Amino acid sequence: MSAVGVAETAQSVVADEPVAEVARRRRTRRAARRRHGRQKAHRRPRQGSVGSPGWNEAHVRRLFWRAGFGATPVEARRWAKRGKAATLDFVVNGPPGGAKLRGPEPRVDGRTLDPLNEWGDNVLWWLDRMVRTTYPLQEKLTLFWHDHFATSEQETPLMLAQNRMLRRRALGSFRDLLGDVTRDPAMQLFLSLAGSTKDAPNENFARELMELFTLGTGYSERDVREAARALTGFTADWHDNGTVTIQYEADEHDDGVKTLLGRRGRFAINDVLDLVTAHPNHAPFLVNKLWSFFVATPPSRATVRALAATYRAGGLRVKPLVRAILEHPQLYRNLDEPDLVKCPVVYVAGALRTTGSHISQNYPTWLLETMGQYPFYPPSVAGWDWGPAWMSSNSMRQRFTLGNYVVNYGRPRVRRGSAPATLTAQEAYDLAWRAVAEPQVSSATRAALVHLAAHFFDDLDPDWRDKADWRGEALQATLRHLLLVCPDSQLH
Amino acid sequence: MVVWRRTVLAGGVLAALLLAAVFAARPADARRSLPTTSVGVGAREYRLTAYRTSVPRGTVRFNLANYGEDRHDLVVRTRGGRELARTAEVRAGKRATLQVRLGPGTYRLICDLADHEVRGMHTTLRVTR
Amino acid sequence: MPRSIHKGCDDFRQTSAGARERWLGGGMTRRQALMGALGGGLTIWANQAMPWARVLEAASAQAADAPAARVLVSVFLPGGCDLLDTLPPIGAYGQYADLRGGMKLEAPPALGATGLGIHPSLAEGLNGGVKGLFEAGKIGFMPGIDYANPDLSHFHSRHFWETGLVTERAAPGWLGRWLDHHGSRDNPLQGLSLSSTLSPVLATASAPVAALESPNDVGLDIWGIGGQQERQMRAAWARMSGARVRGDGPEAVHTAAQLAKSVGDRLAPYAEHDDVDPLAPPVAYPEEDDLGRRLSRVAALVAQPLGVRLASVEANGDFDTHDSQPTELADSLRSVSQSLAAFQADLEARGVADRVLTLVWSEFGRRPEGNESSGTDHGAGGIAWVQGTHAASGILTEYPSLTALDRDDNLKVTVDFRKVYASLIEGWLGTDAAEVIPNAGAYGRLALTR
Repeated sequence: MSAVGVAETAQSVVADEPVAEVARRRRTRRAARRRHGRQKAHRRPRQGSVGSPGWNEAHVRRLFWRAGFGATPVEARRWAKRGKAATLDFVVNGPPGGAKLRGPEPRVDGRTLDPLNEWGDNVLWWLDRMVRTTYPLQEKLTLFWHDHFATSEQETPLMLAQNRMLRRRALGSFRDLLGDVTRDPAMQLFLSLAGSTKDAPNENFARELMELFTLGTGYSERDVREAARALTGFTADWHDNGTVTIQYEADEHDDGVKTLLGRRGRFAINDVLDLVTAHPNHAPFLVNKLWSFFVATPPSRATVRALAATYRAGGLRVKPLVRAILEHPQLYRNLDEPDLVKCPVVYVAGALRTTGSHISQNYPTWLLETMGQYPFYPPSVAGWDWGPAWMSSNSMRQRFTLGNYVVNYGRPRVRRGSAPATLTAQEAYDLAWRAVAEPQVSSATRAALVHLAAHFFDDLDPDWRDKADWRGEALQATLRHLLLVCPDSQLH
Repeated sequence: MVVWRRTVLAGGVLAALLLAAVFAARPADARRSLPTTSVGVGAREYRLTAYRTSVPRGTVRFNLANYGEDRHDLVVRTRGGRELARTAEVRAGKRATLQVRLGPGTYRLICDLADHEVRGMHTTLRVTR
Repeated sequence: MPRSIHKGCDDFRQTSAGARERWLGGGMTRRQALMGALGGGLTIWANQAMPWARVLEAASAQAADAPAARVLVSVFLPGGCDLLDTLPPIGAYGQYADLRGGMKLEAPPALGATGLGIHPSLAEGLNGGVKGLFEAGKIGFMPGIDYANPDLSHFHSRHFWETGLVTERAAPGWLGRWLDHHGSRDNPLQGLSLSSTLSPVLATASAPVAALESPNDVGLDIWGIGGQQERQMRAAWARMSGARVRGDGPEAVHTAAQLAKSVGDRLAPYAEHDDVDPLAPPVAYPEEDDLGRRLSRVAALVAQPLGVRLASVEANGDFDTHDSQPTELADSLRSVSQSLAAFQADLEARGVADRVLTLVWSEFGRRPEGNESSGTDHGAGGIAWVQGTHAASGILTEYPSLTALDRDDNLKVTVDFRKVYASLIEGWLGTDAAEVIPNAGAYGRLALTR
């Protein structure tokens, strides 16, 4: 039956038509699609054919992976055509009107997510944001700040509130972000700033403020002590529903004169934060940290100087600095040999997002834990160890396992009848490659998988091959799985 | 044009199926209409917090997490002190779930190990109609 | 002055205001946070069709490490195990009874002529349990073990014992550090953590290690793919992960991918399939006992040509007996005794007992005086022991006095755990302790093996 014939019949259907008739029509339409699909398969897609040498799909993919959670093939082609400046504007500024979550809210175990009250839903909730947001850079930077201002083992209401604050402040003024972090209940409890009084000042936050959050080096033990004095006076007020308000009690505050980073005064919280951000070590410290989040190879001294100047000239705003990094040619080196290891969160969120899949089950929670990056639980205030440190035979096995879930429950699942065993090895590979959003793989990987496809039916009697669709489908599942989890896909 | 017609088809059939489903399921549905509501509970020395202060009547699922160093548990009591349900003892860093049907009223959630309740490990949950 | 019931944990809470969060904070720079490789995972896959001869060939070819290499097993009793009830000082029973009142052990069996008794639960299990092992000369007890000015927080203390450093900084485990110096670059099975995530004792900076709960629930598996197709799939994986790449990231990825597969290949012959368990123990372990199960895996894997050198196991019981110590500790020690007795018998039956030494430890001791809940709070001067056919036997350290307590009314520490670590590294593993334990020379040595 031709495609037109099907449509004509459709016209005359009424609501209470027998189900069997509907099913028959569905089967015929499927058969027509299958034939059409086979014809399409012969045209091997060429990646990177859109755009110009200075800005093409490869650049877009690199940018979208580093600044977010990957690009779909449609996105890669669209932004290759629009050019570098327009793409960067879009990536850095996000859509006009602010970030939105596209598509339906996830349902897991037959219910909507309840990040506050159900274990693991907080992680799924955040992962879902990464998958559905129209402003991926914002989520990516929220992740960066969560690692930078690492807070762990605090109760869920507090961590969710902190997460929302980090998102709000992610691309704005660093000084404002620092102020909110210092006053954040989860952070204050974690580093014992709440309850630090003039009689018993706690140095924990003061030390991490300088060592981990703003300077790295360039301060003394005395500075830590004096900053601790200046930060006294905060207390935590618990509410019935588990939220906490940070109060300031002036008579618990040490209002004496402090000497901090070479200055003297009756310093309090704002003075401390002003001083550390004005310190000459701050800009290069943050520049290096942000750079290493986006780029695998270290920046030259000149690059650091230039970026620090940009950061300062922008009034310590994060966005101009991030934009400068995302524009930098070093980010686009070795476009055909990605060199930055995807952290577990980016790997999982990216696999779902690029393939058009959704959060529908809770496997990401325990998978992320066994991969070594469970959100809201960094191993210490120093955050996670990035890059090669993500890799071990254990974490690699867990990353391999993700493929099962995406291929069986996500958009790349193999539809019955969509992959007959009679496809050639190259056709089978191309079909699989398209189904998992055309990931960037090396020619060695491609060759290994085409070879696998070619020999997958070796043990089948050739006469039975055209009745062995189930084997063709198994090959598709295998190819899609391997494309999602292969070593090339662990890098971006 | 072809596409539009296909959409009409889909809508029509879908409506039919839904209608049929509703008719078939109604009596059973009425019986199961009370919701299950989840309540996160955090335990630490010496504080017990429920992340919801009130829930609708029905099944309440308490998800207890021990953020402290000592062992804790969760006991659900009526306002009058009668015990309705309890978790086992939960070690530091571990979790436990407790499901219980609650009618409207006020309930007391406590940790009943040693002197934890006296030291602050108690809170109230209101169950509304 | 009335003592509150959980004073130990109160102390922790108070010291923690600075200490705990300071520690959690760690004051760590990225470079210093050497948690390094999270550890390998054993990728075990059931492969029904592989000819055994070929597999064993491959396996023994892989076992380049000396087959007679010594093995050290760490068994951790979480929570702080009470010395006084584990080895009740029956020679000073009156003092013990005064301290413990109604919760005291009534008639603990005597431990030879040592002047000490032993908890009745430790007599349970094969061949008289842990007590039987002691009487057979296979256990050396170390009462009074801890470190000076002990931190009574589970969190801190455990961290110190795991890293062999009394420091708040993050660091690899002491056994992980040993592997960084003396381990191989490509055998994750050299350090086995019998758990789903790597035990901090075995966390390394660079050497590969493995975390495994059971040989059967890990693997490079694709659902629905088996037999020849699975073999082809894994061959494709080997090809992809063998590609030449440049850069730290790509190299790390490809190495991890290769290790994941090679470990799977090497353990394939030992995977459970069709209700046949190639690692089935030759002796009876306690039923449904996690510690027993983990130890049986250790014994089985040590006995194969896999190059296992170190293993880390955590007991399930809770030794943090703030209340109801008589029943809690009895249950926890029963599991320990039955499991360790079976473990030793297993090693002997498999013919590998001569090269395995086990260290049993906990993160601190408990207060000599009982509290109002029939329990004890965190204290100092705990109990540890070495076990094995080459373990030095007897009571190897001085039992702390029950009357001359420290200024917190805790038992005095009579041996620093770092002395024990240094002694094991030199006496059993045969390498320089200073590589692993800073300032190792300052601790002196104990003869822990013979």
